[in-house]
Amino acid sequence: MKRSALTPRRIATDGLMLALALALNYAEHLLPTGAPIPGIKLGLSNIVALVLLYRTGLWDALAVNVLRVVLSNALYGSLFSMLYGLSGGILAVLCMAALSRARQLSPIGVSAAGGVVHNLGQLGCAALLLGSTAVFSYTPVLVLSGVVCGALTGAAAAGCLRALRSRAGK
Amino acid sequence: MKRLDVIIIAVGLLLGAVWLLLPRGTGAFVCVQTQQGRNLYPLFEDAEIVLPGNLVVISGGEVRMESADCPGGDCLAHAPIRRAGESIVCLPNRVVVTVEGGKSDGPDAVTGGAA
Repeated sequence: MKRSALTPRRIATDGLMLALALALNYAEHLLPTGAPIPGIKLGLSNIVALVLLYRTGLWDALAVNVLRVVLSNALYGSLFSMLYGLSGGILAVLCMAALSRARQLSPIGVSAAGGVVHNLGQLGCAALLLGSTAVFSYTPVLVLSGVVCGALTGAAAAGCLRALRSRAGK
Repeated sequence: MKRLDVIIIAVGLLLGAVWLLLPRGTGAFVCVQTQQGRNLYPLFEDAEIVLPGNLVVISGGEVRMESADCPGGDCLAHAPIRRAGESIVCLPNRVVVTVEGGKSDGPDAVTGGAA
């Protein structure tokens, strides 16, 4: 991946994207999920990560995602949820970056895989922090929710990317 | 959506569903692991386990986290557990509550680890 220069345009775009990701994250934080197990959420800010991944590149997606996790947890989370979020977020972006190069995949499949990897990364982090493998009893539920939520945010990102492409084409 | 997308989603759903539906033994004991160590309690004897920061309640063959002083309160949102292998985790306080089966047919080793 070519690492292009830090142009003012790129900085401004990434800053805007970070603000958007934070806003989506906060909106989601306010909504009750109703899930019997904590940690199940849609992951709306993944839409931003995907759009950046496809439009700009890995570094922008990674930087925005890491900053989003750090800022959101500084604002309304805890150190523990920050570690969770970082482990899941970084793994997911790396995984989606690798998969997004495959022509046979659309953002929906890429995001579904990213959702699963995100949840598994968080589980691994929890197991390490606790020094206990008991948390792996959550694995099946988190695989399911990762696929479903990932596919949904992937579909939303695919819509955004289509809209951006058709506007650029004019 | 392309064919490989469908395959990824289908495999994920199938894997999760099958794993989720795997038969689990009924619980017999409650393992409470804290930073101080781990303790076992019988599942079918009502009890309140007072920990620094958390209150675990065993009642009617179910275990739930009654109260916790952690900021998130995620463990309080967890549904009560009763089947072997299920667990409730309070990450900030490093408390892991796990239901363990009665028979020593292997699963007991899964929750192991130095306390």
